[in-house]
Amino acid sequence: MTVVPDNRGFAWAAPWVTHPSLGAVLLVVVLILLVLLTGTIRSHRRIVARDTQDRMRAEQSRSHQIEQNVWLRGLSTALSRAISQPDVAAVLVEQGATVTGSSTATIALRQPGGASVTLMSAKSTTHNTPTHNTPTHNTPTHNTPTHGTPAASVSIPLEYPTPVTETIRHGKTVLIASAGELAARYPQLVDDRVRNGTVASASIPMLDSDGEVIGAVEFGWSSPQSFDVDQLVIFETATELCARALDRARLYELEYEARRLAENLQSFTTALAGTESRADVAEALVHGSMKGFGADAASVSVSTDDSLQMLVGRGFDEPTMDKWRTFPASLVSPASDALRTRLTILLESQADIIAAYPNLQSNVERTGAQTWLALPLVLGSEAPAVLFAVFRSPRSFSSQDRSLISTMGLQAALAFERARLRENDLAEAEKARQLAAAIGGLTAAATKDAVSSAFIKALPALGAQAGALGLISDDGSTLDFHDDGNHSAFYETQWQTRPIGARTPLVIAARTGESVFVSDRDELVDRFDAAGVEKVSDTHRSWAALPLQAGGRSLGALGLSFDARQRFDAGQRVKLASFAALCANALARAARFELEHSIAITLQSTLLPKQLKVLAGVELSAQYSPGTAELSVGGDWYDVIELSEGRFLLVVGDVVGHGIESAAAMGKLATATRALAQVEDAPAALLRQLDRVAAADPTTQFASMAIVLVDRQAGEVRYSLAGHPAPLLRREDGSIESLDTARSIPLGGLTAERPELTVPFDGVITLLLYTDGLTERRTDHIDDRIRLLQSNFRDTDADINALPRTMIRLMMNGGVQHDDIAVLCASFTRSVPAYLRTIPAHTNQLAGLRVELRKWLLAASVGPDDTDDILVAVGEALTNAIEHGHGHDGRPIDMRAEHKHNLHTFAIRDRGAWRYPPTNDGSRGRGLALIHKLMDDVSIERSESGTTITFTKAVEQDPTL
Amino acid sequence: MNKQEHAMNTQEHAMNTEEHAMNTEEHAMNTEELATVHVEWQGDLPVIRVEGELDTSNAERIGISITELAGGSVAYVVDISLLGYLDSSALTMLHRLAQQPAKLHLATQPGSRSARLIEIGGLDTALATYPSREAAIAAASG
Repeated sequence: MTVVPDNRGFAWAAPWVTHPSLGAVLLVVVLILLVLLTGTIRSHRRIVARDTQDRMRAEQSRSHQIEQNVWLRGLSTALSRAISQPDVAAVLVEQGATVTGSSTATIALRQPGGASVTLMSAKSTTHNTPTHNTPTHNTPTHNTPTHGTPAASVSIPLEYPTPVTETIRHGKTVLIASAGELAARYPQLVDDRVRNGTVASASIPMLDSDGEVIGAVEFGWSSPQSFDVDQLVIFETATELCARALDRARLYELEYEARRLAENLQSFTTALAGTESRADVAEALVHGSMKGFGADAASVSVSTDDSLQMLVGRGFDEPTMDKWRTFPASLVSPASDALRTRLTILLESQADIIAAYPNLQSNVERTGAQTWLALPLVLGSEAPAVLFAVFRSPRSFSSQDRSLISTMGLQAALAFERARLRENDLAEAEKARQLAAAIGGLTAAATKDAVSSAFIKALPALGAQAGALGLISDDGSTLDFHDDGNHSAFYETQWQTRPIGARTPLVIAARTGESVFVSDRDELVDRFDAAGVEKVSDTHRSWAALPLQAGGRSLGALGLSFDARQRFDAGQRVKLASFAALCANALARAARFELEHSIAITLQSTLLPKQLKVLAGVELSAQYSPGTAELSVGGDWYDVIELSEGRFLLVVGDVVGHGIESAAAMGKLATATRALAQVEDAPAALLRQLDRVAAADPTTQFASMAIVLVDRQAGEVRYSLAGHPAPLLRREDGSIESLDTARSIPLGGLTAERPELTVPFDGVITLLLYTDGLTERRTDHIDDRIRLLQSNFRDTDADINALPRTMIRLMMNGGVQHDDIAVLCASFTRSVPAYLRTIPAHTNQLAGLRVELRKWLLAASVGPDDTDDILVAVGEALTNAIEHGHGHDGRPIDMRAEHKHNLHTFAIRDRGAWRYPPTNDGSRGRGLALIHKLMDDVSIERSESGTTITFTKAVEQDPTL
Repeated sequence: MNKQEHAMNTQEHAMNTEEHAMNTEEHAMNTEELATVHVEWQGDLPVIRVEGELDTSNAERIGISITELAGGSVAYVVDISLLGYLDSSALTMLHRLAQQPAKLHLATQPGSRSARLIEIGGLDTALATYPSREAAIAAASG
């Protein structure tokens, strides 16, 4: 209770405050008067006098109360600012000294449990510091805010006899008035107190609101005191004020502690909120225990089947980490115990730790652990993880600490579960994504291989580790396993094929159309043919065989093998069956695609020239390569059309679209080109004719074509392109020329300009015509592909017969060939027409024929030495014919000279029989010998109608000609 | 034969092949002019130069001409280094000349058509050949 006097009263009371002894005398007088007056109170006569006396006493009492109140008010005000127990002690000693003249004030508090007393004394600003030379044990100073004078704090046992412990024990005030009294009652304290100048003391018990003794306040004086009642009242009032202030301070401290804990919890909660994975949660928990509780090391481990696996560990040394990263659950340790019992384990001293876990003693001693905490993350009946924290200094946990720890444990457990669910969600999402991708693959699959590949990709999404695709054979007698190298793990695929009557899961599923689920190996052995089961790897625990049915027909079965035992619940069965249905549809579709593909290939191959026409002096080769992509076949073609000696057309074209219809359209255009070429062989003019064909037939419209007219005698090629890739011309020196100038739009435009260009050539020429399948590749730029084609064509030394194949191989370079490709190659030289002469059998014909032949050889670029040799050889042959065949009879003799590239062939035929065989008689025999020596191959063919001598000469091309 | 001569001959005989075939008389005349024989006397040594072409149509007659010109001499020179064409008939003719009493010294330019053909025809040992006209004259005079 606080008394607040008015200002006037305060001023009036001031002298009493400065003279307390006078106040005390007056108080005694008042008390005596009160006793005296008690008996006379009924006397009316004395009413006035009594009233006067009453007023005097009241005034005296009031002034005394005011004096007390002023001091107590100051104390109360100062105490109201104290927010900790030491603060209270500090205030008490300063204020107390003012009124009581005491040199020390000590607050003694019973510790919980009551076995000891904590003494808090504050140093007076005017007096010596009191000390209690008593058995004490140090307590670490609480991390509590203080203001005012720092307090010293010691503990003494409650049983130790001192005035203050006695006060507390008995709940009664103990007054020590002098050194003599002290020596009489507490002899063991004399030396100490005398040395410190405390000879008198007053110890007043502190009571809480329930009247329980919670401690005491002791005032100390350096001089003997004669305590009076007034003093005692003040002491008691001050003590009561202290008790309240202490209460308040304790609440402050509790509040502060609660706030600190709340902040720790808050920051931990915030950290947890940001976690996504279990590792994140573990990290937050470890961090929280180190920062929030001051743990020196902490880890979070998860329990797996029979071991503990550390998710996060901080602050441990390397040997510790090595030992505890993974350890068997059977190892006795606080972490495994906490997990097993789902109870928090808290060991607050090294001795406790060693007592509880003697097996870990060396570890404890090496690391200097003083306190261990093992906190299981408990959720319901599960404890999926455990926090283990190590403190290297002694740490006692308040009940708030413990409650915070358990709160953190619960929060972490919740976050852990959330993270686990999230991880599951992510795994499920990944599975769903894989399944979606696999289904996408199935939808796009146009071949059995593609279906198989999509199936294999879907295995993780289906939770399976291996799979098999079995297809019923055409005659229905077996189930054949489609093996692309991924199907080895399903046990039935140890055979490539099984009879349709076999009792194995896949065969039964394929035969009956019913799914077969096998949960474990025992079931596999019990229900099915046991042969081969022993070869199944132990990692496979469960199997599913799903029928593949489309259009009411069984195509085969899908096999799945799981390395975890499966329950095959309804949901899983539906999922697997749906997937199998998709596979079956895809397979049925693939079968149709493959059928149409093969029809288109057949049609295509019947329409393409079976064998290229053999043209004298021209080497030709071609290749048609169907694309692997579904239905990509059809529409590409090539053709060689001979026009006259040394003159022919090379044609390559590509009809829009694929499939059977395109193959047919290609056939129409190819036929039209052949027919029209007989009346119009100039490429541009021929394209204009074909424009009319294409304009009238939608299936051929927009076809692209390259037409090259080769005129070997003229030594030129003429070409025109209708929306087609440019042919390449390779000269003898290896240079490459792209025939890309005379180009225009694809076929079908009636008003299309069709340019044409003539390119002269000499020597050996190789032409490469192709369709765009050779150069198109989705990932590469077309210009790069054209450059690659040119460099490949320049660098290859492939023989003409291998050239188309080689170019396709080089350009595909192991990649998938989606589109179909037609390649046509031609190699030839500029040529002169064969030289054909028929002369009468007269020697006078020889010189003239030599002149002509010399001209022909010159035109064919034969050098002078070879020319002279040939002239001699031909002359000898003609001479033989004239002289021995005909005997100069003038009948006709035929001669033929021709060449293919640099190989010249000469044939001389007479119509008689040589009258005598040319022998080495020194004349005609010498002629034949010369022919043999000058020419490469000589043959003489005699028949009834005449004799033909044929010889060849591989001439050296004269580069100057 | 060098290219210039080659070209000359081509020009000289440029004609339609059909015409050529039909007009045999003209060819006969041309044949007469196919080769020419020149003689030059170095003291009493006949040095005979044959130009043009020798084939079965004229070789024998040219051989007779040479014999007429040189048959009376002890030795003589035949220079065939300017011969544009010769065949086995020419070789046979030369071989016959070499077997006669008058000693034939044959001048051929190394690497020429005639030298090559003599070698190929296996007559390089049967015929006394000299790499130049001067060498042949020196040998025949000695």
